[in-house]
Amino acid sequence: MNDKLKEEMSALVDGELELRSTRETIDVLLQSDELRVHWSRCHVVRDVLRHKVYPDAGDQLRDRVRAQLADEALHFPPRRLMPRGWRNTLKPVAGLALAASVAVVAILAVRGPQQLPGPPQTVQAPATRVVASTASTIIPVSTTGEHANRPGALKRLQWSTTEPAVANRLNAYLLNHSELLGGPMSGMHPYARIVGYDTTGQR
Amino acid sequence: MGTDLRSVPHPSLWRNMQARMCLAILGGWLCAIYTHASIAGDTSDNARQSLDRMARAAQTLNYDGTFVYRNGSTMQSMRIIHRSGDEGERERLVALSGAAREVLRDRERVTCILPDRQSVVVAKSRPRNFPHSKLFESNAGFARFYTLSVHGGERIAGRHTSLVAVDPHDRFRYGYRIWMDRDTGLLLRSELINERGEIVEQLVYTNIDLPARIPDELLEPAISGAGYTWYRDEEDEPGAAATTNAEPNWYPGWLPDGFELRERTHDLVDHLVFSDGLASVSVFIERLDTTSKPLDGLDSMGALNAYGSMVGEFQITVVGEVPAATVERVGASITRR
Repeated sequence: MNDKLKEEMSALVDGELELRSTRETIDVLLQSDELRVHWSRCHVVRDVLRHKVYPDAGDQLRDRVRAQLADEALHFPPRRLMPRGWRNTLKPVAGLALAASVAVVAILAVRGPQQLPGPPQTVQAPATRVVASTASTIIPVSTTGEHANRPGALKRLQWSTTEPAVANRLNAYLLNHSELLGGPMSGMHPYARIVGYDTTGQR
Repeated sequence: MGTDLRSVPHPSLWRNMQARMCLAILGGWLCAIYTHASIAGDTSDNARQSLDRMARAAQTLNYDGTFVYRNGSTMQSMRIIHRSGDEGERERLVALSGAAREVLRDRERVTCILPDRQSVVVAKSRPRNFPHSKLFESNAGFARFYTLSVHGGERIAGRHTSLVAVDPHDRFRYGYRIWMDRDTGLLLRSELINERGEIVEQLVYTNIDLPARIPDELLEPAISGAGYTWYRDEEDEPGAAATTNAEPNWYPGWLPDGFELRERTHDLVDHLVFSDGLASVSVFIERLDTTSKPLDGLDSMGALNAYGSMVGEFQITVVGEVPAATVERVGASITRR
């Protein structure tokens, strides 16, 4: 494996490879076991450099999340039966839309530090509007830690709009759209867009 | 220099030869057309069956793989673990680079764990058996809007693949290139191609395992961080749907050929879904208060396009993995019935 290829691989990991080179590099990557190993190493190295590796994630936290998830199930009432007929395979998405609104605020909101008022327990400004409009359906179960309102963790908008409220709404719609239609027929994993949300701006 | 009359056929014989040649050519053409139609139909049938097989494989198999996902300028490496069993599907999608986000999904809920925002969002999951349209069930119908073809694929993640190419007949939908495992039918690579022939979204596996058994531990979240804000969906709580936002009487006056209404939900937001079996658009109608900023015009995010407009106090938004012209035209045609 030559140095140029290594550099391209690193650029690919960092999302810095030019669009036209991306496909070629992926093609090369696919053909070589050695390159795939290097690819994995690049990720580990990058994550370590960015302090993204958390060796001390610990069982405690995992147990807590697991417990929360288990507890969460108690809040869900039995599913409603849908009418018979062609619509009986279809399910409402409004509930997801509501969760999406918050998720979007949580994941995707773009705002400056000046837009982050209030104590850590308070949902951030754009969320306040969303939560207020859906107060009967979405509630923060718990708020902990000073990081809840950490500014600037995601500073890059995917939508070109400069209006956070508009971007939030679009992303809520995206979540609904993806959950309903992003199945295997589309050739994409439904939540890849959420997990893979553009973070190239956050270095 | 005189002409050798012995080399020139008699006029009647000449006419006979011409007639025979015409018949031969015509016959050849007919054979070619018939053969081409048969092959095309066969290829298209195979492609359709392959896509169907892929959809089933994604839902019914156990797999644990790593893939690279690109949308616009975003490049991410992710791991997906999927288990199918008596308890239904369970799935975990994890970001391997950047923020360590996770999405866990089972038949009851979707849990998004977002360490970069110190948040967890829990929502109800939706069935993955979204019915394919009649177009997809009928090759003749599908062929009105797409040309499907099967090709030999490359080796991806150490596995041999077949390539299904899906090319739209108009400029209102995207094209697809889908590589699937020959043995299992699993998706191993895909590309979404816009109306200009550019790849706007791409996914490619770098490795994939098909374990007979996937332990629960692999489907549990492994997150890190100090504190999280939890959000959950309570749509079924009493009074949850008390604040209806829009009357369900909006409908587009124009849709691309083959798009059918697949679902309509009406709650805080009126949501209509139209699809031709592959491409889809969602129409959202939401009442906005006077202080809310509306989307006015087009926006985009990688393969996704959105178009928004205000009609009175209602924000009309069309979102879909279709070209900008499609969402704009659909959005501009929406009226109240």
